[in-house]
Amino acid sequence: MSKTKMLITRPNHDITTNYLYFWSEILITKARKTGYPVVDLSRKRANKKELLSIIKKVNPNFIVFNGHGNDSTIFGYDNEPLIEVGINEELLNSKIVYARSCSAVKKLGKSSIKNGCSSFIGYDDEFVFIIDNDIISHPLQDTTAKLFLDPSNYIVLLLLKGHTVSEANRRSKEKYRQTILNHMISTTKQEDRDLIPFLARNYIHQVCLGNQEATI
Amino acid sequence: MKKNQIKSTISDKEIRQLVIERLRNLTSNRRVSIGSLGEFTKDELIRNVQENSEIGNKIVEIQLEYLRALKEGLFFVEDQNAHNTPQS
Repeated sequence: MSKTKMLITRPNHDITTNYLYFWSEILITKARKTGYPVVDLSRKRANKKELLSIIKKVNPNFIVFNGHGNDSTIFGYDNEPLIEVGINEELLNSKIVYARSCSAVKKLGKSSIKNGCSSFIGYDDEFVFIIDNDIISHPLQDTTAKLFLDPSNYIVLLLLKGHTVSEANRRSKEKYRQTILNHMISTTKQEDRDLIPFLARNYIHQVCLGNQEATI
Repeated sequence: MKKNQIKSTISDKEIRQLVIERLRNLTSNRRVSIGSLGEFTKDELIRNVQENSEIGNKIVEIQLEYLRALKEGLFFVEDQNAHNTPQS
């Protein structure tokens, strides 16, 4: 059995992608510490040409996409399409994919699975999070964003530990649910209770398609 | 008078007003990232809901979806079927 190789894309051309860029560092560090080789397509390297080249040369079996998306496309730096329905979703053949990109499960996820992708975790609507303006230049210190990005990071951390995609998705969603419940208690400040509908969004719309028992 | 005789429906305008009131509680030092739609301050969100824009409609959808999920008790039991198929 070949060793797991991880590929991660993390453009940083706007505020949202910059947050995902920084919060993905945690995943890269953990993967490397665990002994997995990681190809990091960060900043401008998160482009289609580099992606195709790495998939061909390295053939990673685990891919994490960060960046904008829609029903049928995952984007890279400056919103260059990386993977598109009907164009190149077969590149995900036999791979486990986590797409931290809006709505990509809807068409791209389904089509990828039909075209041989092993498992696809993502969102069937917008992935949302809330940012603290006061520390916008230090995303990893943003404790508000952490409430949203920790549970999503948890998917990858659990996969790196050898859990199945189903278990990683379930436990990540459970983390969202516990955060929601913790924010419902009466001692929570109103300003923090107002985060709940947005946390609920990710909880409700995070789904896992394909082989539920797959591991990286 | 029976409860359902008082009012059986709520208008779109009333729903938007409800959402605006909920958004007013958000602190001004936060902004909401809604994927490729962008990042929005409280005032921008309220304005978009008032203007019935795409972003405004998305915010209404997020708030209503939460209220429906709360009513259905979605958060009070662990999701045993987390690997569900997409809802839409």
